[in-house]
Parts: sequence; C-alpha cells; structure tokens
Amino acid sequence: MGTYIIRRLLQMIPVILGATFLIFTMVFALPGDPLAGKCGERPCPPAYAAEFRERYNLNDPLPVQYAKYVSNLVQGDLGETTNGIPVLDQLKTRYPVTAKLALMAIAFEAIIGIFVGVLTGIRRGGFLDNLVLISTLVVISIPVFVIGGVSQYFLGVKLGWFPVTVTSSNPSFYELMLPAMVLGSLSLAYVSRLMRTSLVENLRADYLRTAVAKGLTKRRAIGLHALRNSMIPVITFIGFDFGALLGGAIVTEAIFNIPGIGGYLFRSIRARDGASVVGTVTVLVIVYLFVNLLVDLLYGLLDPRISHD
Amino acid sequence: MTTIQDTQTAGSEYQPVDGLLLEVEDLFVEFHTPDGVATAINGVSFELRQGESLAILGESGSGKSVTAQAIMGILDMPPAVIPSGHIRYCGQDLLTMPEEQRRKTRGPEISMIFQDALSSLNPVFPVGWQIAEMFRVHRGLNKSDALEKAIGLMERVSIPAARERVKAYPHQFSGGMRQRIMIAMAIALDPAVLIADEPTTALDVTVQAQIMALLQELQEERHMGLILITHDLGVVADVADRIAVMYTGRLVETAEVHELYARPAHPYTKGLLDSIPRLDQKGQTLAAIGGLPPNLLRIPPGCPFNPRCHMARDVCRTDLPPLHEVTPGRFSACHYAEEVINA
Amino acid sequence: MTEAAAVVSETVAPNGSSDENRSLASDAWRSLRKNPIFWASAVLISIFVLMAIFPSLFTSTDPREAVLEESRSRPGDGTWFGRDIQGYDIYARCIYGARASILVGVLTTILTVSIGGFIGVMSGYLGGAADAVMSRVGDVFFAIPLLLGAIIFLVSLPDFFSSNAFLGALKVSLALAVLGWPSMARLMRSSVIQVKPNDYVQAARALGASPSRIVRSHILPNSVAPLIVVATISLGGYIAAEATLSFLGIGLQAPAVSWGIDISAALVGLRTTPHMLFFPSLFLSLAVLGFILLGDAVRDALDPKNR
Repeated sequence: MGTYIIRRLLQMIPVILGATFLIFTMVFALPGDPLAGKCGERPCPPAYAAEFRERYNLNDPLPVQYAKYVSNLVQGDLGETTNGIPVLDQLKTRYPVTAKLALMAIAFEAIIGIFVGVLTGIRRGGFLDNLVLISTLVVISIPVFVIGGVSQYFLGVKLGWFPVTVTSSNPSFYELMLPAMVLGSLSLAYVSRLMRTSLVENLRADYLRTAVAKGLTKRRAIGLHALRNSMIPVITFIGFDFGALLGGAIVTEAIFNIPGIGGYLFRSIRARDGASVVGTVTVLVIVYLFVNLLVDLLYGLLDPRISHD
Repeated sequence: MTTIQDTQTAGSEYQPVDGLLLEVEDLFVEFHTPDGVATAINGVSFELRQGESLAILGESGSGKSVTAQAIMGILDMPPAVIPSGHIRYCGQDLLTMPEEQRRKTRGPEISMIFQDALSSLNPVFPVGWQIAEMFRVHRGLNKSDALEKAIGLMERVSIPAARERVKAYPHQFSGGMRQRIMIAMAIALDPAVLIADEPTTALDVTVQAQIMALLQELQEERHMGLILITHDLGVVADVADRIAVMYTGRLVETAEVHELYARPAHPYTKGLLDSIPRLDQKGQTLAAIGGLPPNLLRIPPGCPFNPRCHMARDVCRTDLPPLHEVTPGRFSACHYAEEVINA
Repeated sequence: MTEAAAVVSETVAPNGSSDENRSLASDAWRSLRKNPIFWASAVLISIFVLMAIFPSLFTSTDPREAVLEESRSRPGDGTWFGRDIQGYDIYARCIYGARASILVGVLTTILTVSIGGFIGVMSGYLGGAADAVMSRVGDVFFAIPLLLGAIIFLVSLPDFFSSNAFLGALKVSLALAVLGWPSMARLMRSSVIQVKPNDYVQAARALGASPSRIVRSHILPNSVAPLIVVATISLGGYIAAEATLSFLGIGLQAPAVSWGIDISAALVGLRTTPHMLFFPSLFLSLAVLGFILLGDAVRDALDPKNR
C-alpha cells in the first residue's frame, strides 16, 4: 500500500507541472497580444501595460517566463486584478462559500443517489426503477444552467420556497439549499445510475452465488458482499465529482449570485480581467488535481486488487 | 477421543437414515424462458451414503450443475421452477423446508465448491476473513477465534505460511491455492455432504491431481458424502465409488466405477469411454459421438440419445427407456442394455 | 450467466437464422431498427440538423431584426414564442441558434476523433517510449477540466471571430477539442491494446502486412463500436458545453445567434418574462437529449449481452 501511495504521488508531479505549463502556454504563448481583452472593454492604459509586461516577464524568452511564473505560483503570487487587489486575497475570502456549497451538493447527491441506486438495483423493472431511469436521462441531458434557471423560476419566483438569489456574503445553509440541489442534480443522476449498474453487475457475480452457498442470509450477502464491491466505482465517482464541483460551480454561482469562486470567475470573465481569470483557474486546476490524487489513493484503499500486488 | 466423524454428526440435528445422507427422488427442474419451457432435469433419482463419493458425469447442458444447485437451493427461482420431486437430506425434504431452516443447512450440513475459484471468492475481502465468516455467522465465534480456526483450516489444506497469508486477497494466490481456499471454506463446519462442481476444470493437470487427492483425503477423514460433478472421465477414475451418467436431464446409467469403465451398459457411456484418446491409438481417427445434444425446449420422443446412437432401433424412437436394474447395483436407461454390456 | 441462459444457450438453436450474415454491424442494425428510442432520437436530430443547414425552411423571420416596440411580448402576440428584451423574435432565434450548436458539436467531434483517434492508435500500436510520452501528455490535458480549460483558451482570444457564426463556432470547437482529445485517445489506445495481441494480428504481421494495413483492416473495425457510442454521447456534451460557454459570455457573442446567449439574457428578466428562458432552454435540452438517446440506443444495440 505504501509503495502505491508513493508511486501515485510521483506520477502526479509531472502532471501538475504539465498542467500549469499548458495553462501558461494558452494564456501567454498563443498568437495575439496577451493583453488583449484583459482590461475590460478598453485597451489597457500604457502604464499598466508596461507594468504587466515587466511583471509577467513578457520580454524574456519563453522558458524563463515559465520558470518565473511557476516560482511566483509557488510563492502564492497569483497576480493582481485590474484594480490592484491581489487575486489570492479575493480567492481566500470566497473559497469557504464554494466549499460549503460543494459539500452540500455532495451530501445531496451521495445520500439520495446511493439510496435510489440501491433500491432500483435490487428491485429492477418496477415503477420506481422506470421513473428513476427516465428522470436521470432527462437530467443528464439538460445543461446545468437550464436546470438552474428553471428551478430558480419555479421554486424561487413562483412557489417562493427558496430565495431566488443569494444576498449575503456569507450565505446560510437555507440560502444555499436550492443552488446545492441544482449543482448536485446532474451528479445525482450519474450516481444513481452508476450505483444501480454496479449493483446489478455484482448481483450476478459468482462470488455472490458462493455467499449464498455458504448459508449467509440474503441481507448479508447483498448488504455486505455485493454492496462492498458495488460501492467502489460509486465512491470514486463521488470523490472525483467533489474535485470537479470545487472548481466547476461557475454556472450555478452565476445564476444564483453566490459570492464564491465560481461567481468571482464569472464576473472576471465578463469584465475581461485576465489576471483574475488565469489565477483563479490555475488554483482551481491544482486543487482539482490534488483531490483526484486523494481519490485515487482512496480507490486503492477500497479495491485491494489495485494496491496489493 | 472423539473423531471428526463423531463431532460432525453428534452435534447435528440431522442424522443419516440407514447411512443414507441424500436421497433425490424424481426431481424435475424447468426453466421458464421467453422462448418456452426448457426441462433441464427430467425425473432424476439417486442416493448418496455416508462416506461415499458419487460422480455425476455429463456434457454441457446435461443438467449436472443444475442438479447440484437444486440440492443446494441456489437456483434463481424465477426462471427456475421445481414442479415436483423430493430432495431428502437425512430424511427431511429440503424442498418443503422453510427457507430460513434450509439456509442453515448450507455450510454446516451441505457445502459446495465451484469451478472458478477466482470469480467465486469475493475479491475485496481477505481470504482468512472469508473462511472465518463461516464460523462467525454459523457458530457465533468472535473475530479472533474465527480467524484462528481459519488459519487451522488453511494449514489443513496445505497452504504454505498460512498464518502470514491469512490476510492476503484472492488475486494474490495461484489457481490451485485458491481452489484449496474454497475447499477450506466448504469443509469449515464439517458438513456431511460436499458437492464439488467441476473443481478442477480450470486447473493445470498436475494441480488437478493434487486437488483431487486433497478432496479424497478430506472425504475419508471426515466420512463425508462427496458428489463430484464433472465431464472429465479421467479425473473421476481414482476418486469416485459410483458414477451416474446424465444426458439431457436424465440419468442414463449408474454403476460402480470399475464396472462402468470395464463394461458400460449404455451406448452414450460407451461413446464417452471410446472417445478418450489413448496412446496406442496413434495414427487412427479419433472416435467421437456424432451429432449434438437435443434442444431442451423440444426434446424428441423416445430415447433422447437415439439420433446419435449407432444402435438405435425402431423402439428407441418411440418408447422412452426407463432406468432399470440390469445387474444388481447397475442401472441403465437403454432398451438394449445387455447387448451393450456384452459388446 | 444465469442458469437459465447457460442451459438454454447451450442447447437451443437460434430460430432459423443460421444462414444469415451475422456480422456485428448487421446484428446491431437489426436490433437498432426495432428500438423506438433510436427512431425518436434520429428524428429529433434530423430536425435539428435541418434547422442548422436550412433555417429558412422553418421561419422566414430574420433573427436579428429587432422590433423594439414589441420587446418582451408574450407568445401569441403575432409571434410564436414572443419577443425578448431587444425585440428579437424568439422563435426565429431558436431556429437559427441550432446552427451554432450543431456546428460546434460536429466540428468538435470531428477534431477530437481525428486527433485523439490518431494519437491513441499510434500510442497503443507503437507501445514503449512513444506510448509513455503520449499518454503522459494526454494525462496533462486530461487533468484540466473541460470547461475551465476552454475558458482559459477563449479568454486569451476573447473577441476574435466571436461574432461570426462559423468562425466563432470554429474557435469554440478548437477550444473544446484541445481539451477533449485525450478521452478519445484513451479509448482508441485501449481498443488497440486489446486487439493487438490477438493471433490474427500476429499472423498478419508475420505475413508482412504494413502497420497501416493492420490498423485499418484489423484494429479499426473492432474499435469502431465503442468509438461510435462515445462520440455520439460526447457530441451532446459538446453542444451543452458550447451553450455554457456562450452563456458565460466567452463563447459565441452577439450578434451571432446561440441558445446560450439567449438563456443568459433571459435570466435577468426571469420574474416577469419566463418565456424568454423556456424556449431556448427547451430547444437546447432536446438537442442534447437527442444525441444522448442515440448514443444509448447504439450502445444497447452493440452490447453483446443483449443478443
């Protein structure tokens, strides 16, 4: 198990380096003026432009640029917004909100998704099964912002069950409930489908026949033997999803006006604030990779065939 | 000092009746499929006594595995249906027993091992845990006591360094070792009957011999009844006392092993024996039984083997030959059994 | 397999089809033909493709013609779907919006399949160091979430071509393809790796067949099945991605017509004019649904367990 952890850690380093290099290239090495569109609608003021060039070492050869970029990153310097505020500070204040939202979404999708998946896996073909199959298909097809917009209208404006948008800078659980459900809805569909498929496959497995032949109760055979195997892909999916949610709640936060990372990114894109966008995305990608690494390790823990050799 | 034999039957509420452990009587098993009803087992009867090993021989589709699974009660009950028949264990009919009571016979009384040990063992639990589970669930032992028992069993089936390997996972063992683990799990609670469904088919020839030897050893030591399901005549010769040959869901011949090999009483058995390649046949065409087994959804009238039988006469195509006693202890379902014996 | 399947399959002859050509493709087509979902999704997709190529078949109104006096009018007042804030005919915009979505979906899929497919096949076939390098590179691209990567890419070229429907779509497709090719590459790579050790491939090599011939005749036909399924479903995903990017303001931009742009504008007036949101949302959802259903139907048809 120990060697597995070290191996995965070592594999991760070149990927992180590669990813930052890729982002760097896309921003600075693409043809065209890197300053284009980074200062809002108007061209950048000359002072800012000169300072930008100096700061980002655009006058240096590419490899040097990249090296300095990485060293800045490591020191936590993500650049400044067009207003001169360090991007890192902006992110620090906003991260807790996004984390809260992501955790709520994960809880929502995991609890309901697993529950529904197990039920429909055991009792296939019933009314619940067909209902779930159809609704998951529908949810998977409808883009998140449509679900967000529609639920905002029906549940917020029309029925008034939830606030339509978030108004405070430190939102409560209640205010985040609807956005969390919207955010988790797509993953909920995937989780329940995955759980169902995984369980059905394992219910057909030979080792389950052995379990019954051993005289185990049906409850133990399904609840312990089959479930333990079926949960593996589901838990890893939820883990990966957490990483994705931390970074990908842009649309949901935009729709519900949530003061998190996603909302910040959205506004920075709109305002064409290049430094903010790049800095935010870089952090998001690194966090995403780290969470993926943790999930990979978790997977090794859950499935001994991977880690024990 | 109590022998294993004594402890096995002493504590059990099931006692053999006249030494008879298992009695299958007129068993019918059907599969209800969208294409129709397939009769997988068509009136099968046999007995198993204490300390006896019975081999059930047959091709794929003959119903041998289904028989084993019906005895264990692990068939998927739709689509499988048991319309009639009895399976008596120590006098009690398993088919009419309440399910909870029947469940408790699996493991402590009747046990089964399967063909592919890799897929038959749960990949995410250590092997020791899986063996120990028998003790935890059926005997209420605590974790460490159960694990100790598991180590003991692993040693009994000759798994080297058992104490260290008890925490290992199934995929970390070789095929032969895995089969030994399955055997350890199956004999853990000293069952009276052990059913082995093609236990060596997936193994190398040398490992096959070892596993068969192990089974024989354990059977003698514990005075178990052993049902060996196979399609391989070679494997069976050393271990079995009696052989029952199945074809299309019916028994076509039962005999004591040496008699069957020496002088078969059914054309199908004769065909099987003839088709075993022998060293002194070098250069000759291999003998094979022509044709294919019939469609279980549409079994032809008369003897089911008649389309492939070189001895088929008119009566074979119209009348189903009953399983009758040809000589004492030998049964055959052929109208011309005596002719076959003397051929 | 269940006991029933095992018993029946070993002894039951298939009904009367022993003489027919039982290739994978014809089997798949046969079961596809019987599947109502296949037909429903095929019809849906055809309608959208038609809308994309010949929008004038569906409407004669110019989607960029603003009738300000009637802005925010409800469905029925002279127009089918009403008008949005700037007075555009929503129905016309919905029809014309199909072009952007289908274009991006198709272009991105073509790009990812060609680039990713090529790299994946090379990687799997050559093995060794080449494979290691290409896989690592793929991992790096794969590591960046699609949306985030596309955002970065597009942020660097924010207003390049965005207002021209075709070039803007090309730009967005490029952004998505740059990040989407690794999944296709992985798929093809694992297909190649599965097929390569087979005896008939070794035999072909021994007979002197060139690698490209081996790939073409032996490896590709076996990999085509999962490729089709994944490509179809991904197409739906790319349509959704384009809409999301346009929604965020970084994909296509006005005056190009895209469902994402309309939905974004509609959210502002949600309380009073929900119809502005519904119709483009409906069109978008149906387009994505069509492709996903098609992919599902094809997957079921190609699944050996269903035959």
